[in-house]
Amino acid sequence: MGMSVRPVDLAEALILRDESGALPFAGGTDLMVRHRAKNGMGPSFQKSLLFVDHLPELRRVKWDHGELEIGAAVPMAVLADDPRARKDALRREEASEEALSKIPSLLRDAAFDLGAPALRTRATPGGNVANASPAGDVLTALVALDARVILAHRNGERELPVLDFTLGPGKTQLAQNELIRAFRFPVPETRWCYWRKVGTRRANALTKVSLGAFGTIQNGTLESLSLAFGAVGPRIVLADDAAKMLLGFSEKDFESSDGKTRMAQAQKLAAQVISPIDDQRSTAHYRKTVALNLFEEALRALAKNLKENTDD
Amino acid sequence: MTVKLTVNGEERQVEVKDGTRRLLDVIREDLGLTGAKEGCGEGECGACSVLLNGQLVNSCLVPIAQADGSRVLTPEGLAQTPEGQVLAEAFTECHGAQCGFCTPGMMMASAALLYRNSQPNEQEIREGLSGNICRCTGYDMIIDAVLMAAQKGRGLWG
Repeated sequence: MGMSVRPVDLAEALILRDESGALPFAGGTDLMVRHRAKNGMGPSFQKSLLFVDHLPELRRVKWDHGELEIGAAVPMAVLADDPRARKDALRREEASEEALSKIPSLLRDAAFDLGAPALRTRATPGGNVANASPAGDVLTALVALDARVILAHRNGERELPVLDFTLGPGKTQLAQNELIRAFRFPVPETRWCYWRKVGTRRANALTKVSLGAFGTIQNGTLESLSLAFGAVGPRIVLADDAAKMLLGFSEKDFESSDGKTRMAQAQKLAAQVISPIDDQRSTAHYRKTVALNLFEEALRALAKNLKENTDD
Repeated sequence: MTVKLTVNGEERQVEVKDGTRRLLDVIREDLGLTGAKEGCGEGECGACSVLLNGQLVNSCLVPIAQADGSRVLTPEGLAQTPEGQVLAEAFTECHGAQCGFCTPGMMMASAALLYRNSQPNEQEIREGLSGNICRCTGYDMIIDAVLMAAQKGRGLWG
């Protein structure tokens, strides 16, 4: 059994990480479960732990030049708009009202759908991404938002797209001397968000299948779109070819015969990249069927949004 | 290591060999406060709920090192407050407790909900208690109790 250490700031944490290779530990909602022993006993960790949940540098929500930066250890409750958690974050000056107001509904809803209130006060986006489960809800939302992960080490930082950072369940590109510091993504003014998670129990259930979609709209026309499917493969799946089919869509395209053809093609292209498996939570057949239903629901939501924008 | 906690308003120090010991075990075994229960031991059932710096947590998932320097409110502490008394009366009147194993955790989650939303509707109560499992009541009587506590405790929850 290793030692657990609780550094005072990021600089100390990075030195400890570099020297010991200790396991970064944020909210613990995954790690404590994975390493649990019998009831009445504490967990059993083979490696030393490096607690990072309290590090000020990892708890900030910043709005900077049209981009939102979310610290790796910002509790999900803050992202999910829990008023008490947000008040605490404001009081500790970890976030400003403006920065919190920029959190897109896609991320807010995904954070809200994660666990139950007592898990959301502890769970963090850094942990959700480091866990790299394709069923990770906030991971899926961050991929849809085209977020980059900022990885800190003793001598600097590097950035890479969140999707590239994940390699498969439990596997990431995190180097032995690095810590996830934050996530960054642009938040355009005219945005469209969609989030739907399908699970069993309303709370605490892991995702069977999910879809996070994020688009930008200019003058009633869809300018960009990303569609991120969760739990349909070893990593989050971006249906980019399907999304491309829909670029330039405006309200009328949802009714026209050309538009309908393009939507049908987009759905076929989405179906091609979705390759779920059977496991204890669901079957491949169910997941694929539901994933495509979510795709249809997202398109209906998009049509409604474009209609309302056009009406303005 | 020495861990300092303010438990139910009282400053306490505990010596632990290992910082990964669970907050749940420290409050039950070292401090003798057995209101928080171990149900599942993995954050699914909410029987071990306490407030850590005012936020609802599953104490079975918090290593004690992470709680160092924090305020902890356990079911025993809640019971001493006017809010806790209102909740206890409402649970009694509405038959919100049967076997009682989930009840301390239910009350902690109810208090956490009411502190952030003093007049919740039924849907918000169901969401607020969604991390707490009860195998007796079928939940409806617990929902009634929280509605009653919200009404009777008007002004208490801030």
